[in-house]
Amino acid sequence: MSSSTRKSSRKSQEEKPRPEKRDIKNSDRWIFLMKNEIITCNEEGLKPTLCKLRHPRLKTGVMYLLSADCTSVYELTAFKEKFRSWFIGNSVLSNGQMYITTPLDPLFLILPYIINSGETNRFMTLEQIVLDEEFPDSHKLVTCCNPEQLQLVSDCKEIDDDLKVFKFNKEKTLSWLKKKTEAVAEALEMKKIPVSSGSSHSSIFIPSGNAEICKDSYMIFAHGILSEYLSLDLEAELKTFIGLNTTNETPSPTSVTDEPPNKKQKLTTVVAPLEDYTQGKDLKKDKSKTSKVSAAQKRLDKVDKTGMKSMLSFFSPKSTK
Amino acid sequence: MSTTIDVSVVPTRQNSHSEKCHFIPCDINFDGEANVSDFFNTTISRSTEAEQQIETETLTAVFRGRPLKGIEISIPSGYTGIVVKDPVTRTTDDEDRCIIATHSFDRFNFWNLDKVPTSDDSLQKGFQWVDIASALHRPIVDDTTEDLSQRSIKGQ
Amino acid sequence: MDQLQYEANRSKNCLNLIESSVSERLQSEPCWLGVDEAGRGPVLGPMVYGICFSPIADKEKLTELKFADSKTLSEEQRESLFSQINESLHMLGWMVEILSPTYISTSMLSREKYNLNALSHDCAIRLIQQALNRGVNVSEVYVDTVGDATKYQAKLQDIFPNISITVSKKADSLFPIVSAASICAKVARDQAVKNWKFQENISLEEPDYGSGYPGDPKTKKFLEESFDKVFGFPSFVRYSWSTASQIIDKKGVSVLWEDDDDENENKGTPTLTQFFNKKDCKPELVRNRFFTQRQLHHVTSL
Repeated sequence: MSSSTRKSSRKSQEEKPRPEKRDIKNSDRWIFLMKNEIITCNEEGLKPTLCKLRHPRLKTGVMYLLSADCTSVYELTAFKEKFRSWFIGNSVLSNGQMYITTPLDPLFLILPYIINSGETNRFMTLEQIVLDEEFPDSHKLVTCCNPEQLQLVSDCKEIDDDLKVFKFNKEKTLSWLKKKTEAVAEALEMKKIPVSSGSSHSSIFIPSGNAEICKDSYMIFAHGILSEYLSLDLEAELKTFIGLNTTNETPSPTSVTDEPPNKKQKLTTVVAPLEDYTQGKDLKKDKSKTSKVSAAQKRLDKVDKTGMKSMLSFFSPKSTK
Repeated sequence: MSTTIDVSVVPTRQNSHSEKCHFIPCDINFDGEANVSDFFNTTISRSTEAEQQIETETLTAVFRGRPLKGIEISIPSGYTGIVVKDPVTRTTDDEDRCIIATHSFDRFNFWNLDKVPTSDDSLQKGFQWVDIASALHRPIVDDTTEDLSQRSIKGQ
Repeated sequence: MDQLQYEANRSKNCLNLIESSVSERLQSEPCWLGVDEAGRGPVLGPMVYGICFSPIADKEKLTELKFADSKTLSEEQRESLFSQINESLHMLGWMVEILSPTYISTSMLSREKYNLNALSHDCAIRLIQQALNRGVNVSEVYVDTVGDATKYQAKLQDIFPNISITVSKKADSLFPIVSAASICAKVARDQAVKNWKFQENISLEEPDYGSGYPGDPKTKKFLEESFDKVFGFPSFVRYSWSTASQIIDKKGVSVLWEDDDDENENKGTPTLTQFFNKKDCKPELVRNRFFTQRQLHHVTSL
């Protein structure tokens, strides 16, 4: 007569070598969260397609979805959490991912090509611009983008009646990107998404009196999100253009964007919240704001220190669950 | 290699009522038919008042003797959940293929291991991406005059 | 014993209390109360905790009813004794709590360790409290020990400081009131098991699972035959028993849970070593934390 706690059943599992999660490639089913317009887009005999295109930041191929009529492109984002599977009706699906299709502004994909061709200093047609031997499907981007849209990032000349040629315009591009950043910052604020660095699990309180600081935090975070679609160079240029740069070097992406920081970086992360309002401080100096802000800065000083304390205690010994 | 997706079945939505989807908090190393109705659905019950959430009802269920706590989650508005299947077993990555949507759903049961689901869970936070993406990728309306005036204010 | 309410919920993760009426004498006169269990060892079916209480003044009368050594009694004899108890409700009262096999499994397999002894202790405590709630004048409690007797006694004494607690081994042979409790518990368990309806539509027509103890070959056969490679077993089976988990490990599809391994990192949060590696990565490959926090990834292939 033997009863056991979970420990001994765990033991018996450890005796058998733990099998790897089944290679997802073998799964023949996937769960998609499909934007409705993809489904309702009716093009006689045609269907939406998945294809590989060059990712504007990674430079390698990533999957995108094209609508049936080839006028819209969608990004595929996988929600992938450890230890997840599906029951679908009376079946099991081992691939616990959810593939979310979200609308993508085709300019993000086209931009790297325009920038590249801009280096030749010549005007080119869109077909010429997006030519990519490694990713033949790139030509489909031509139908996804109209000349009006293209002129947000380039100058246009009309040759021979209706042949349009384009050349990269950096100023326009940066303006366009800035508007995008503002749109994202607004959305973040509306959804009350916590944005201060280090506030991964719960928000560190930013005193509501500091409207300026708040806005900067949202812009910084929005810039970070937008940079996912930009080359490193463009990311840096945009940051300067928006005015988010300071005399202090921005912490490397690893320390600002990911948690938990390793021991070496603990100091950097401790500094990071300081970094936020220090940036703000310099920003204020540049724009010669009123001294009212510095009093608020002092308040933020205190609040942030509290935040730092709790972060330290959260991160210090490697916590076991 | 290109993959087309046949979504023609989705608008008719005939299958959605019978194919309830459950998002289970474990890695099951198996694909195929399983007796979910008899062994899993029979264990589902609404939770007692002590655990009940204010907004949504919490569910409890059992899988392999483990306690699961769950809620019904709706797919973000403007989107539909679909189950897509490749009808042919593939051996290489090179071939063109057509995958077919077999079922659709607009809600599913989200389960955690012995932990009541909250809005802090990764999935619910993950769904926030839909709105952010919408703002990020919304085409900018060109207004060059506005551009110029903005830039002069910022002194750039 | 009316188990209708229990039967409606048998597979669920729940407890079920069944009680007799409580006569006035039991509320006014000081009573002694016995606690015992049934079905602790088997891998099948519910575990039942029972209490029985009676005026101390009637201790002699109780011995006449021959409750001693309930383990040696047959099912019929136990039924008969239980009937006698129910005919003597002027001087006896009883309560049983049925812990479904699902309740046992999920308690022992939950994130917080909850072993069988702790489960048993809490059950006994609940029953004693329930007797008090019903107004029973409990003066002495006798418990068959589960785990360390001294510790258990101290624990109970702490919770019920005004009652004289005695925890001992073989209490059901020493104290007739414990034997009586044992009878109630066993009858409840027998009935629950006999009336068990499998809702899993298993193919066995009239499953003969023997005693339900892990050593019983009939029980072993039942476990093998009712086994489902994805789900394991019907809810009749206690998953926290190694008998069950070993079959699952051997024959079932592999299922991995977050809390299986103590060294498991938090969901999605990189370990310190992974973090060091990231430092060597090209910066453009490191995703913004908005995406990492939400477990959102690029898709390079389906």
